[in-house]
Amino acid sequence: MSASKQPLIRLQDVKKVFFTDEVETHALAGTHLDIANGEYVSITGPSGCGKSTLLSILGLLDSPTEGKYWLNGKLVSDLSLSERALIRNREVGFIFQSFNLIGDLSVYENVELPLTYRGLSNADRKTRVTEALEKVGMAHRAKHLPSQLSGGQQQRVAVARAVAGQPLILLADEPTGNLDSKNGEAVMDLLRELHRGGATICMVTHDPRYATFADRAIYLFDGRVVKEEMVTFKQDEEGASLVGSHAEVV
Amino acid sequence: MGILWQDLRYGARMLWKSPGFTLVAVAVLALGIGANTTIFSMINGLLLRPLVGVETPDRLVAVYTSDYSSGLYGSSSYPDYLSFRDGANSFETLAAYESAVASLTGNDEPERLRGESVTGNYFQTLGVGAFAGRTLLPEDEATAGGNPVVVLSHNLWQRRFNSDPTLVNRTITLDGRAHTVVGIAAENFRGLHLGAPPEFWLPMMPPPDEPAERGSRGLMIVGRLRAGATAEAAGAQLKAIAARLAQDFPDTNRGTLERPDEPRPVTVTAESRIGPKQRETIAGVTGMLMLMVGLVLLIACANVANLLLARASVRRREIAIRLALGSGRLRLVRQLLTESMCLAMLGGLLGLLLTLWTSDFLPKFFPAEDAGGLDLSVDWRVLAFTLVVSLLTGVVFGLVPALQASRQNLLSALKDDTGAPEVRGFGRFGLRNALVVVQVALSLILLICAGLFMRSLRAASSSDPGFNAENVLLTRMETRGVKMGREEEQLFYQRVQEQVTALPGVRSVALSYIVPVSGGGMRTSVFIEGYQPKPNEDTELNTNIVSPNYFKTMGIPFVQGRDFGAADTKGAPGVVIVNEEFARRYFGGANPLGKRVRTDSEGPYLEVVGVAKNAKYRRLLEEPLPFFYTPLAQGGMSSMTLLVRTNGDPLDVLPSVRAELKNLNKNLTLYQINTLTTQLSEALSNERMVAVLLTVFGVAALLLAAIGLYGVMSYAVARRTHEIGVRMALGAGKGDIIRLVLWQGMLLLFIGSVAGLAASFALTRLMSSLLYGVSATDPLTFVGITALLSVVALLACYVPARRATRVDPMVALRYE
Repeated sequence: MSASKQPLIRLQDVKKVFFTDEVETHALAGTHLDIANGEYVSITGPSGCGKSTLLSILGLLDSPTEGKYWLNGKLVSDLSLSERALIRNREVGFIFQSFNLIGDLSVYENVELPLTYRGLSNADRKTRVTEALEKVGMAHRAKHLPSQLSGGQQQRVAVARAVAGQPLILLADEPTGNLDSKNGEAVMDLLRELHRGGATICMVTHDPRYATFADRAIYLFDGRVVKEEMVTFKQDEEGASLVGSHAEVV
Repeated sequence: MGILWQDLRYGARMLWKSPGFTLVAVAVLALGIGANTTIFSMINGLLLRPLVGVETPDRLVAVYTSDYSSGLYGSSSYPDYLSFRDGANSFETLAAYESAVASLTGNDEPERLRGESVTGNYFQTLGVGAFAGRTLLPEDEATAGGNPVVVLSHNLWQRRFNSDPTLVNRTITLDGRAHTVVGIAAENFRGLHLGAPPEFWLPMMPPPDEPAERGSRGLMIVGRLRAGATAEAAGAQLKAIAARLAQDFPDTNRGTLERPDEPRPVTVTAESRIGPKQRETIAGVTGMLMLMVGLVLLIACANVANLLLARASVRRREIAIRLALGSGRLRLVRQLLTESMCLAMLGGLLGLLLTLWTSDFLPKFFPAEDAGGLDLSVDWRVLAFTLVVSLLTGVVFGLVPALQASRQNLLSALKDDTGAPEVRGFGRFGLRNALVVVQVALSLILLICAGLFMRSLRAASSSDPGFNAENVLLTRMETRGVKMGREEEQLFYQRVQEQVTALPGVRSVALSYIVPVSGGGMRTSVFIEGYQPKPNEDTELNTNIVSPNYFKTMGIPFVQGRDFGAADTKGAPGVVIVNEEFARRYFGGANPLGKRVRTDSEGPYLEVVGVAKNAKYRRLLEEPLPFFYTPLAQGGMSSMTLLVRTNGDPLDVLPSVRAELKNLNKNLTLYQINTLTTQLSEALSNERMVAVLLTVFGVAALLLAAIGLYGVMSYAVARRTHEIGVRMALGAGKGDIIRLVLWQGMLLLFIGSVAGLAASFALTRLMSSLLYGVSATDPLTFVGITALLSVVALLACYVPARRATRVDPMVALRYE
């Protein structure tokens, strides 16, 4: 995941309108956003500002009502359902707030799941799953069921599942939302490690402490990007301080 | 009681609030309970209903004696009847009767009537009174020969005499003789047995007191037990009398095929509308049908239990609140069971309506001759059965879901915590899945049984009867009402054959006493020259009296020898034609032509002049029987069947045949007019009924299993919406999701099929005696039915699978 001049993600005037009982809800109202390869971006804002909608569009779970979306230079805003499924599987890694591990599948099988949809061979899948689990420190729990793990461990497995497919971008939706502070910080550390390893990450969070883990913090309000800040100071290596200062770029 | 009422009210309200659930559950239960009630009403009508129109039917018993080879339930001779009547004091009265036919002639078209010849105490024994006039009395026996009297059935009086109030004491002509009508029997008395009811009763003429009469067994005996006497005690008395008779009359009363040195047995059973032999057969078939509808009901129970389990998850919070408010678990189970009972009772009520509907058309499955008086209407026994089955059903399908619903995690349910942080998959092999597996297995058993019976019916229908049944008209002729001597009769038969042969469209004509595959037959002892019977060998063989051209008309080829000819008359040497099986069994490899047999140990020998190919005699499904034909001209009967082979549809020539016969003698009674193909088809009516009923039940089971599978898969898809959303978010395509859902359905199908096949292998062997031309483990049926079930199951799973692909991952994940 090396950096390049062309942004990995480009949103141009993206709008999303939900229609319910003759009521129009403008979740996104003309959003412009570029995310470069290898960048770590956090998206914050109050409830209902459109964070999750934006992430869903970025993750091709939803399509914009208007506007254009390029992923890795390819226009993906008007793809069919099956084309979107293919790109989701190969180029996007999801990390959800509530982990979304499948209860009947073991840790190994959960991480393997997106790879099976890709049609990889057994051997390839095994290599990638093992690597991903080692990366998140969960290899020793490969045979366990999710219900046998703590919340923090489950989220680590979810991260392993997201990275196992070596996607272009990791999309994390409130990855610490269901965790206590200690486990939350551990997961954030893990994401930071992945970023240091070259991963492009886009994380939605409403917790200002964790927004500072990113290179750039984007603030949404009423469906628009109202502020972008480059994070200049970050938590130290030991995690002793969360004090930082930001430079406003928008 | 107050609590029960409260539960009932609440249960009814809950069902009313969920009309969709209630409707489906009640419909499924109605199908299951209705099928059971229908078959039970058949058993009730055939085996359980008491005799109609008689007084205290529980005190009536039937007495059977045995000839050499008829088994335990044979008919009796008049002298034996007298010995029993006069020697046993367990009976208030003991009567005898035998079937009789008579031609009623007069102003209208001659009509052949079925009736009974009865002893003078018959009506007194049964406790049957007269609608008008009187019934028969013992003194009528004395006048039977001189001044004959008759009692008519109410039905005949209405039908034939337009309820003429002046008929009593007037005369009618039966078999050409004037009979005084002394009375009309009570309206509700239709004879003792099922089948065509008797239309008249003649006093029995005591036969001459000759030793040979003791061996002539044709009478049925019915007795009324004295108050306090039992059938067992009466049986013991009759047995003692039979032992005495065996000593006094060893030629006629000692020795049977199985026990040559013992007195011929006497059996006393409760009198019923169906004889003991037939009861055994009917009990076997209806028992098997009952088992099958039991399976349908179990499938229905599994289906409704699954619906209740799904509903319990919807009512989780309500149940938790009840528990939190202090309801005991038992109390809660009772509440839920009350709801189940309400459902079961509604299902039972609807099932009963289904039975009312089927009771009209089910008797049509039976041949008209056998179904007379068959009453399948709903009586207290059917009502009690429905009530018990409904109650049991309510417990069977309601108990487990109720117990499971009352055993939930209170805290989690109160929080309405429907989703754990992790995504729930299909989970353990839960109760719902187990119930579907049971449904699949049971429906496979039912379908395989139905398939086997269908194949058996098909094999039977296409089996070779040994004759060509196409284009043959059958008309039974009765000459009793026509005053003619034996010689005249023979001439008359010859003229019938000649005249009808000359009709346009007729290819050949013959007469025979027995029509093959009509269910009836005639047996006689046969002594074969040069053949030494083995010990206990039954040499009473089936026989038929036929005219020349019979074999040509029936299409039965000759293997050797010749047909009967014009020269085979009464004065000529006696001749017979035997069938292949007769020749094989009694003559071995020797040439049968010229061999001799006789039907009376003292009588003249009859020479074998021909060997005909084997043909079915009594039943289509019988093994080849040895039998022989004698010529009509050497010993005819007063009723013969005219067989007319035609060029086209045999019914087209019926008017001209009928006109020709009437032209020959206007008093001739014609009846049993049919075609041979229809008769062959009717010969399989019982097999057809079983096959059709089993197919109906099999299809119902298939439908229920498909509904069950569909329900479980739909529930699973709904329950897995979130998981499916996650999978789609991770890149699963439509095909992946369809495969995922189908896989679970197919797994259930596979387990159910394996269990069902194993059970079918074990069960179908038990019914092998009821199958014809197909093995009880016929691979084609087993594989074909499993494939059919798989296709239906696949469809039942495909619909929810398609629905699963329409899950919007955004919506599925939104609750986060």
